[in-house]
Amino acid sequence: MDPLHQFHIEPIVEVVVGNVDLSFSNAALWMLLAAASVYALMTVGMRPGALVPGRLQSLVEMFYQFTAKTVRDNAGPDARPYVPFVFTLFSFILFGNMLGMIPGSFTFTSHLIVTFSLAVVVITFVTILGFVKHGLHFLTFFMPHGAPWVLAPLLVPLEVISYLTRPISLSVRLFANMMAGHTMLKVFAGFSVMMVAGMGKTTGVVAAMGPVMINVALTGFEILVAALQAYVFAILTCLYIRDALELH
Amino acid sequence: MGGTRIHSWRHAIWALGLALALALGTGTAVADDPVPAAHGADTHAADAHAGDPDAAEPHAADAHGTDPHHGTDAHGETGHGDGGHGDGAHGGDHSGGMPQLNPESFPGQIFWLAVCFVTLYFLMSGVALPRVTEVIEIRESRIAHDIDRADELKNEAEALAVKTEAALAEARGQAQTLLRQVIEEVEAHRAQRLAQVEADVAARLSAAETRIDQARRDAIGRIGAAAEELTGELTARLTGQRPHPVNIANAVAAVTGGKS
Repeated sequence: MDPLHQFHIEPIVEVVVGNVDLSFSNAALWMLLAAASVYALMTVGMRPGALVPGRLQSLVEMFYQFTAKTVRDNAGPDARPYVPFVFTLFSFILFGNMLGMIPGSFTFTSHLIVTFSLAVVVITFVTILGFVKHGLHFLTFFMPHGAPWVLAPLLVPLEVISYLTRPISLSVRLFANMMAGHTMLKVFAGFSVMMVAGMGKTTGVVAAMGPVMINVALTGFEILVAALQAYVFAILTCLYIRDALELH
Repeated sequence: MGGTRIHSWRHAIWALGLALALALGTGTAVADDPVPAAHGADTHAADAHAGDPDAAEPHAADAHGTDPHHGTDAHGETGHGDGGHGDGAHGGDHSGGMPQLNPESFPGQIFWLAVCFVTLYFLMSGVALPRVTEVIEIRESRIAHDIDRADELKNEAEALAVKTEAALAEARGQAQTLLRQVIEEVEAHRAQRLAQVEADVAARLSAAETRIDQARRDAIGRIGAAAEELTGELTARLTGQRPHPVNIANAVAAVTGGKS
C-alpha cells in the first residue's frame, strides 16, 4: 500500500556496462512503449496518405499541425526547422504521461532524472542554437535591453541564474505534477482498501465508495494534467527557442 | 522540412546535448560509485534483513516476495545507505525515501531515455513528419491547383460568353441589315410595280378617254349631219323648196353653237 511503490525502478533485463548499471527497467520499457506508440500512430495514421484523410489520418495531421502551430506562435516563423524536435518532446512526454494513466503501468515522467535529462537536452540545444545563430553576441541575452550599464554587475548574474534555473523549473514542474498526481491517486485508493479492511465488508465497502468517487474525479483531473504538462513543456521549449533566435 | 535537409550541425548539437545529459547522469552514478560497490557486497546483508525481521512487516514481505530484484536493487541501496542510522532504516528500506532520489537508477534511466528519445527524434524528423508534411503539402498544392484551374476555366467561360455575346450581337445586326435590305428591296420593287401599273392604267385611261372623245365627236358630227338632213327635209316639206345645203349647215351651226 506504499503510495511510492509505483515509482520503483525494477530491472527487467539486467545490463551492466563496466560498473554502471544500465538495466532495462520498467521505466525503460514504458519509454520504449511511448516512443513506439508515437511512431506507430504516426506511420499507421499516415499510411493511406489520402487526399481526404480518414479519422486516424486526421488525428495525426491535427496532432502535427497543432504542434507546428504552437511552435510558430511561440517560437516564431524562424523556428520551423525545430518543429520535429518540439514534436518529439511533446509527443514523447504526452504519451509517457498518458500511458502512465493506465493502472499498473509505469510513469517514467514521474522521475526527476528523466524530466531533468529532457530539460538539459532542451537547454543545451537552445544554448547551442543561440551561439550558432548569434555567435558571442548571444551573451548580450544576459544583459537586458536598455538597462543602464552600471547595473550590469547586478543584472548579468541575475539573468545567468534565471537562465540556469530554467532546466530545473522545467523538469521539476513536470516531475512534481506527475508524481503528486499519481501519489494522490494511490493514497486515495489506499484509503478505500483500509476502510474495507478496518470497517468490515458492509460498512467498509460503503465508506470506501467515498475515496473511489474522489479517485474517479482525480483520474479525470490527472488526464488533464498529463496533457497539460506535456503541452507546457513543449510551449516553454518553444519560448526558449524564441529567446535563442531573437535574443529578446 | 527537417526530414529532407537535416543540417549537419543539428546532429552535432544533438550529440553534444545527449553526451552532456549522459555525462551528467553517469557522473552522478560514478560519484556514488563507492556506494554501489559496497552495495554489491552488502546485498546479502540487505537480503538477510529482508528475510527475517521484516517478515513481520506485510509490505516489505510482499514486495520482496513478488519481486526478487527489490532486495538487490534500488531498495537494497537506499536501505543500506540509511542502514547506518539505525533500525528505523529497515522500514525506510521500503516506504521511506522517494525512488526518484535513488541515484543508482539514474544511469539506466538516462541511457534508455537517450536511446528512446534519439531514436524517436530521428524517426520523427526523418520518416514520420516528412510524410505528414508531404501529404499536407500535396493536398494544399492540389487544392491550390484546383482553384487555379477553376479560375482558369471560369475566365475561359467568361471569355467564351463575351465572344458568344459579340457573335450574337453581330448576327443580330446582320439580320437587321438583311431585313432592312429586303424591306427596301421589296419596297422598291413594290414602288416600281406600282408606278408601272399606274402608268399602264393611266395610259389605258387616256387611250379610253381619247376613244370616248372620238366616239362622242363622231356621234356629235353625225348628229349635225342628221340635223342638217332633217332640217332640209322639214324645210322642203314646209316651204316646198329645198334650201341650199350651205345655208342649212350655217343655220344648224347657228343653233347648236357652231359645234358639229
